[in-house]
Amino acid sequence: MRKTLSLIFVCILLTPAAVWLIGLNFDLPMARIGLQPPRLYRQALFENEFYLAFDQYVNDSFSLRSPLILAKRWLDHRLFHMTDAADVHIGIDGWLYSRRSIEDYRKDACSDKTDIQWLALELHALEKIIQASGRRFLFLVAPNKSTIYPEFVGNVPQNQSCRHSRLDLLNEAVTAHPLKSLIRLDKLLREEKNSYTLLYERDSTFWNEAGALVAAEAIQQNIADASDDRILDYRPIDVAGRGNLSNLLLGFNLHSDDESVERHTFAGDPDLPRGIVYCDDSVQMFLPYALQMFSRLDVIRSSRLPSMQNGEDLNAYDVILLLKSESELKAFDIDIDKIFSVFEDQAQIPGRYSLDLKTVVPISHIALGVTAEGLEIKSLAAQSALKFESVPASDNNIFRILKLSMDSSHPELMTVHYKTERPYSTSKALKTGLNKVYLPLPLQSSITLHIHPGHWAGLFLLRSAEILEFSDRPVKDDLHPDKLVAAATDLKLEESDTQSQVPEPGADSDEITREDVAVLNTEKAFRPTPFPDDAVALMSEDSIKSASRPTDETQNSLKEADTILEKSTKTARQPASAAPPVEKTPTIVVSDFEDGRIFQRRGQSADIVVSGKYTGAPGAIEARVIRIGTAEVVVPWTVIDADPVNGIFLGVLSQVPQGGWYNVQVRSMLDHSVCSKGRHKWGVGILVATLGQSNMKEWFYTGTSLTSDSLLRRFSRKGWKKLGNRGHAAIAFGNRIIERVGIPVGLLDYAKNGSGLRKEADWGTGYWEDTASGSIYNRFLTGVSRAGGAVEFVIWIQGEADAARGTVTQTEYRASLESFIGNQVRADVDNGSDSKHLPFLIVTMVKRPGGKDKPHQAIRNAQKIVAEHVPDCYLAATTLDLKNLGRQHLSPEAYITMGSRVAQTVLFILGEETYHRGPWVSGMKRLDNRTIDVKIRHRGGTDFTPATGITGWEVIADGTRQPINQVYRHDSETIRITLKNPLPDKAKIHYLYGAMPDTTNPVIDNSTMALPLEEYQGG
Amino acid sequence: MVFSSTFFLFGFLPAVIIFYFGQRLLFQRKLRNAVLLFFSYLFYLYGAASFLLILILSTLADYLLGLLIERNLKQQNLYLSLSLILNLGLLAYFKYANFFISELNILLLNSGLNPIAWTDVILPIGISFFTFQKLSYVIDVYRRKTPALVNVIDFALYIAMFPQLIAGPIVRFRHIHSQLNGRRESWDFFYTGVMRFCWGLAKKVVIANSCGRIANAIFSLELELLDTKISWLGALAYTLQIYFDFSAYSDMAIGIGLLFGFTFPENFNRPYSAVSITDFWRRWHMTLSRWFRDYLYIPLGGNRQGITRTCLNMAVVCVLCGLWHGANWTFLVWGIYHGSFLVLERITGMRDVSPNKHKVLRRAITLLLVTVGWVLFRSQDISQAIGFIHAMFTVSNIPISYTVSLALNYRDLFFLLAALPIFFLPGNFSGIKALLSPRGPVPLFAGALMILLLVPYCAALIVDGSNSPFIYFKF
Repeated sequence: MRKTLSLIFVCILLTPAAVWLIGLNFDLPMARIGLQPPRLYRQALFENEFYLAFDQYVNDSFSLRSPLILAKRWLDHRLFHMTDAADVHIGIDGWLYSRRSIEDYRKDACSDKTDIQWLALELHALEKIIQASGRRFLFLVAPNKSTIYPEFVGNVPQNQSCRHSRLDLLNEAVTAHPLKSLIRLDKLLREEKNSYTLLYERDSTFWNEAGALVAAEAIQQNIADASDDRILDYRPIDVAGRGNLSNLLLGFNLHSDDESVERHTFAGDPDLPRGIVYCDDSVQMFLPYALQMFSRLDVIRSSRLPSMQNGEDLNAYDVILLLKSESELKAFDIDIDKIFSVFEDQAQIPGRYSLDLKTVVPISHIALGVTAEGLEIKSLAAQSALKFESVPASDNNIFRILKLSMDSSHPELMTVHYKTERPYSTSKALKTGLNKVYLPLPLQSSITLHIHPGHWAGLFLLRSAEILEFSDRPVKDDLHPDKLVAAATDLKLEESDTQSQVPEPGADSDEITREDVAVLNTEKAFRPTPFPDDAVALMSEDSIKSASRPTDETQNSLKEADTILEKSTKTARQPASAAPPVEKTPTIVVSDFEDGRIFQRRGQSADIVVSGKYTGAPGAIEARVIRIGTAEVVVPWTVIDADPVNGIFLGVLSQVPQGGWYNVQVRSMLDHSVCSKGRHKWGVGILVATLGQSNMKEWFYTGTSLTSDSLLRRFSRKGWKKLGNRGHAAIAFGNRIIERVGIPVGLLDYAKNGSGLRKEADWGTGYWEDTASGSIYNRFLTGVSRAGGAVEFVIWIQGEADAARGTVTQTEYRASLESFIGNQVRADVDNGSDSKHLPFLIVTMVKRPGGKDKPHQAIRNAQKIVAEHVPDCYLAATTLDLKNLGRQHLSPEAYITMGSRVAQTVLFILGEETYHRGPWVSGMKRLDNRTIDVKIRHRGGTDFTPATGITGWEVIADGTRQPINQVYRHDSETIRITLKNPLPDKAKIHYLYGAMPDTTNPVIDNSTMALPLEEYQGG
Repeated sequence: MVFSSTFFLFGFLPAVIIFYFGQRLLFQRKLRNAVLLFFSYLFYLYGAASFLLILILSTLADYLLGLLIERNLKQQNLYLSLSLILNLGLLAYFKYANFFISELNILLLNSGLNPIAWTDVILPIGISFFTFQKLSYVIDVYRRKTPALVNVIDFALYIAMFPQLIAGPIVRFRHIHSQLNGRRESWDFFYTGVMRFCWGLAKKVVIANSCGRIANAIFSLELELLDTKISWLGALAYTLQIYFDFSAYSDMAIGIGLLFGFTFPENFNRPYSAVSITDFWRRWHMTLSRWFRDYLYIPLGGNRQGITRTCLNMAVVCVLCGLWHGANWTFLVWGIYHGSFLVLERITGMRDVSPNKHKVLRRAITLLLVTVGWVLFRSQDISQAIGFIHAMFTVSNIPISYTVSLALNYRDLFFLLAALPIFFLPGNFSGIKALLSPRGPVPLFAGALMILLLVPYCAALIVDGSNSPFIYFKF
């Protein structure tokens, strides 16, 4: 018996291998990655990564995996009433809930209170501007199942001190100040629940037909004529079910082919309104009803309004619906600036008046000056701040929005602090040129706003600050504070320039003196920041340096700024005599640039903002640039600030020629011995942003055999750093460009391992379409801002995350990538190149260690289409021929090739090279039923290798791969494929198709770059 | 490679069995050690590919030094010193350099000096275990307690034998010398090995991991969210986890050894039944305790040089034992903590009290002290340990946090409760022995159930990702 049991044990151990050998497939739709075994070669045996990849492969492809997991999950559920499925919560009596909804059920959202209040404020703004444009806006929150049926959730501890979910907080916020567009579905569903109607199925995330009907009827009541008493009936449409929790619990893969945009036309009644609904998956049961209320209904699944990638024209709709799941409330983003830019011109805004810019008060590290165009702002660093005091805020009758029209000399991230009971901050990305910023004002009598124009030294021009008023009732005169109002709607400072109202600090704005007028008429009048002594102390040399140096965390500098603000605000209206005392011998200290910093060139040079602090009266400040090593004067002494005030000097040193490394020096024009020399090296060159996921990140990590050029730098959260020997692709790329153009190259390292482009591809490390605070995209923008705001090229190596689950279609990825390029990167990042648009270089997805062909090819196709259709977008490198050795990433040698190929594209764009892509298939010719000639065209080369044994070609007929006899070079422009069997009339031919094509012997041209034949799909 | 991994269970282990017994049929056992050595190196390659060469070269060095010590009596001190320097040097570099440099850099920074540029060294897995095995061999040869091995394959197999290569038991050469060539495989051994392995697998995958999830959830909490009940639950869960985890590995190692005819020393003897800390160390990780006793404590003078020196020796051993577990202040404090009680028991004579006197009370107190010690051991740093212990010994009641409530599911709670009897069973009771000793239908039926139900359930837990590596792998 012991022998028998021992043999049974051995048999159990051998069963998976036996199942694998006989090819038994259980055909269960379990979620798995689909990895392939890593390639075995001699060196791989001694690399830990090989075994890691192999272990992952074994786990993923284990032959008994599906039945074992299924059985275990079933046992866990039935026996232990629990599950390891991360997305499912098991309630009582067989009720299942999504885990995310349980987060809300816990009533632990008090830390989000400010965010929810801000959301309510944005919804108010949205409601007002949409309604003012003559449209209807409705906002609905689809409650979680746990909100309507909390009695079946089971034993989940709730936060006893908070006791508020996000929905509770939102309801509270809109109860105090009613939001007319809000339909309280939670209330309606609870009422309906009392009639014993089941509104949510036990095993589904979302409401059922009955629940959706409640929402639909509520909308109908709001948008339909009083006479319209049609009864809505359920007209099923083909929608995929994403919310089946039973399947999720058992480990099944919930594949869905839903597109992010659905357009439905209801032919029944053309007189019905046209609608657009921004929603999430909660829409799926609601659509069959909703379609009956509109002549046309466009459905956009997006967490952002307006969506980035769909290019919807909001003017084309009569009704704008916003339907969000309760659990999605936090992940919801409204772009107020964009919405207002769409509707403001056509909206009938009941009240609009300008604030007097002279009421803007400097707080810290900033100099303000009134000019004919507006308020000029010299901002030194993140600590620099100004404030709007006692701005009339909103009340139950009038909703107010502060509109700022502001020019920025460079891209910046402006931060606005609302000084309310619960302080709130919001950031606005400023582009070079004119920006319109809309700030909804909360419901209170008046408010003070602290504004940090940017993180770096720069010049801004506040052209106007207007209050937009929305009211259902006529605006009372007394609501316009006399002190702040100018009569005309478009009132700017033209009038006040001549009539001059520049008060002394501390004086009331209406107390104007002749001296003030005189000051104004001379040039421009800068009002000194009222530095208290302690604030001046804070602006020591160190603080100035740190101000001009990128800090690791922007938040830190903002906190520091807040500290300064607190101190300086108390004395903000001190008289001019409170300014720093004049010393006998003036001193100046230049704010040095971070060591190794590279400024993006414009043409062949760059304008550099030079700033610093002074004591005493140094008069005009001059600056020059010298080259390190040779002491050659690159830019001679030039006046940068003729009239420094307030202990700050700031000005632009124009036309600093490209090159490096340099030092900056400043001196007093009056006394040349009063000078300050920068010690850090910096240069003017090419900045390249690197975005995407791990194969981009590995540019900086894989390979240690190369040595980087001394002019090459990497910029990341840690600042400007040398590359040393690590990172084959980055070094190969940078060195090749520097070798040809001889100027510094800076690589902005903001790729994120595992990141997707779309939300569906978020594996926990973020996705690029996410523009929320703290998102990977926002971190990139912050980084670009720290690096100066402009780059010359963007490199994009991504797609694996979107392909992995197969839930992102080619259309979706294309739309997202186009939107990402156009609406995000090019909208938010300054174009430092000579091209019309910021060049966007796409490296198509590399060969994978596993996965299904279709989703991978879909992503790759989308990338190629985008590269071909979007202006100044380039297919930077085809990389399918590069070796990945069966791993997630390429080999170190392959990264050298990849870096060199992308550099070739950059040099091509710069006019330094004549080609950057390899040969391509120009046509096919069937010689007989077993022979096909593939015609290729060369770009950089004239011939190709190998002559025989070419791999990577597939001939597909009747859905099956046809056995290929051989593929060989017929002549320099012809590849001949011979087949073993006769070919039917119709056939498809692929070259390098799918996730992991055979690249043992790919076609490589004889150009100096040895570029591969580009992939091909055709017939 | 982890014993409780898909590849080991269903790829590596069956392959070793097939090749091992295959060579027995073809080559009459001549290659059995070579086969085991090949798979042992493959096993190490899989887990620490880049360090295999270090293992092989240091093995060869000790092999040669062992021979030289035996054959060159005049220079044996030199060769012993060379071996000590080599082995302890490698251990110090890989295990302690990061800690030493980071602490030094803190000092330098505080003194306004530039820190030392340093790239963290990766710890080769199992280095603490195979280093101690090599040292025991060289020292035993030096002491003439065992002859030096001439067959390099046998010696390399002794060092690298995969069942105990990564996390013990630490096998002394003299205990296994005769087995290297004289062992006999049998179905009885094989069956016992299968049972022992399955027992260990279930302890690890089912019980230790369940307790581990609870302990992890609690030890991840912010200190202010800890109250009396939760901190005790966390401490108890970790107390169970570390025992079931480590003893499971030892069970599996001993079981695999039995499959191939080896008898490895036991590593645990119901440690939570100990009546004193001294007794605890006679029952916990026994091969390590014995190693320290024979190669450190006794050479330092043991208990033969007066009470003061004895206490000092005990303190030294305990501190080094703590540091052996890793370069962290928590391990050091844990070692000092245990050392203090050992010294106290020595001074007060408590260690000599009859085990049966006040047995229940003494077991309870010992368990309490050991549990508190595990809190030190498990904590990320000293401040967490202090906060955790403070929460354990002050009365407070905070609602259970959500993350902990997720960990307190019925399955993991059920297995935690199933593990609790370990605290109350008699000190000489052994579950696996009860399963194996008596011949008859009941143990066979239980064995059949274990093989047919528990192994597939463990496999399901492993492939569904609810598995974690062994705690002692990192030592």
